Amino acid sequence: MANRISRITAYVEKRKLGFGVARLIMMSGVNVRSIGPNDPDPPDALRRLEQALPQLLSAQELSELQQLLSEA
Amino acid sequence: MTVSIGVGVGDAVDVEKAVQAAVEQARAQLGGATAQAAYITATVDYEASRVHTAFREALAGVPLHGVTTSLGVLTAAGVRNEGHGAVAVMLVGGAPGTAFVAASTEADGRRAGEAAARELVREAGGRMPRMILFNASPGAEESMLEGIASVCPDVPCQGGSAADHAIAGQWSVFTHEGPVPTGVSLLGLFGEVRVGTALCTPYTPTGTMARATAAEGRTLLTLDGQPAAQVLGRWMEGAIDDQVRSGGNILAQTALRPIAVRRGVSQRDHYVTVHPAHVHADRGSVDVFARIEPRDEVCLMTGTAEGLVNEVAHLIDLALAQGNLTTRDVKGAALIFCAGCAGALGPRVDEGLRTFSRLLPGVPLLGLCTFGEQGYIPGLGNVHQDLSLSLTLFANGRP
Repeated sequence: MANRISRITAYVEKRKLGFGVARLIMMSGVNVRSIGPNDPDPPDALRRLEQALPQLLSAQELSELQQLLSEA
Repeated sequence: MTVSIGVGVGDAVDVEKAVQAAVEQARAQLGGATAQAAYITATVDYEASRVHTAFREALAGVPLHGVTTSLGVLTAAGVRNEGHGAVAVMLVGGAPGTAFVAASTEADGRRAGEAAARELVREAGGRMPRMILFNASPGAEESMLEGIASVCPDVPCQGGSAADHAIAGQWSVFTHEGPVPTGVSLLGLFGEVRVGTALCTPYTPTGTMARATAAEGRTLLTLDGQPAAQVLGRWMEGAIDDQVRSGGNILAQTALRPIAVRRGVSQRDHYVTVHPAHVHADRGSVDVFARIEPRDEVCLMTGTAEGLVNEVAHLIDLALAQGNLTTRDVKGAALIFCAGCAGALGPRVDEGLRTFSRLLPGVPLLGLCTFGEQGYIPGLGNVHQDLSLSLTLFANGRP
């Protein structure tokens, strides 16, 4: 099972393409591309990523993402 | 004298394939003209050294110049970055002597600017450039422009500063010799080539202002004698309270409410927009992306996403007017779009970019997202500022 950051990144990439992932990196300051799916989630990076998501995703997309994360 | 412009974009996972695709598209648009210089860019998703090597191999003998772009490559159809990044090239074609490149990695900004400009003029056999495409690492652009002006007075410089996605110093300047983390690269246009240039922002002053009372380079220490972070915190009405207390990045919060330094230009004012980047809670200071001097009048500005989208049409109009060009004259365009603005706009940046398709249909466009923008303001000279759009339109000399 991939870590939470990788699953968030995969969701953003699917919905918003590479441009969306680049915006996520810019807004959070977390280079998500450097975090492998099997790495442990760095807590501070995960917190910053989750804080940035509302600027990128609609309420519906956020809800869908939360659902996907909770199912895993 | 005629100038030909060809632009290509590639986004294959494999960097060599991405560069090859971009070069093939650009060459096809040159109409048989010989490439005299190449303006290259790539997102940091690709390794800069591999990007440079691939362009050198694909464009054997063509001088290279450029910087990395944040977020993606800008085209008239929208942002290109499907998933693995993007590379792009603008080929400047024409007779020998139309374009030259030069670079410097001198640590001192002014000396770097001087050295690169001297080399550019030497390459051109002592001629002054018609204009300069300027690209540099973030940090010393004002000094670099001063250095260039000491060698090439009154020559317009248009450009943008190297960028990555994370604001983590992963950017590169592409000199002909290779990518460097710190330095300046110039692409000079010479002869009878006509250009139209513009630098603008969609922000208006709010009337809230203070005097800079202490600053160190690009760190604002105090405004009206009080810690800059506290003053900015009051101006932002709660939006950066956490950062004022604990420190942190404020780029997103200030993208539509930046600050600016007012400069008087004959009968009107020019506002040099400055993007507040980071609050240091312990010192109460604020890092910014452009120089603020003690005694400068610092103003709070305001803008909207709608204004940013609509600013592209204004930018094109300004550049056409500045160059006394009609839309039919334009052979190519180089757009610099502040990465902070593009990040704040998100998908809406495509609306602005499609303005090029509407107003300049079929014109090859190369666009970058940068961490600082440069352009020529009549009466002020070449300026470096933030949260701006910079445009160069290329056209043939008059028959």
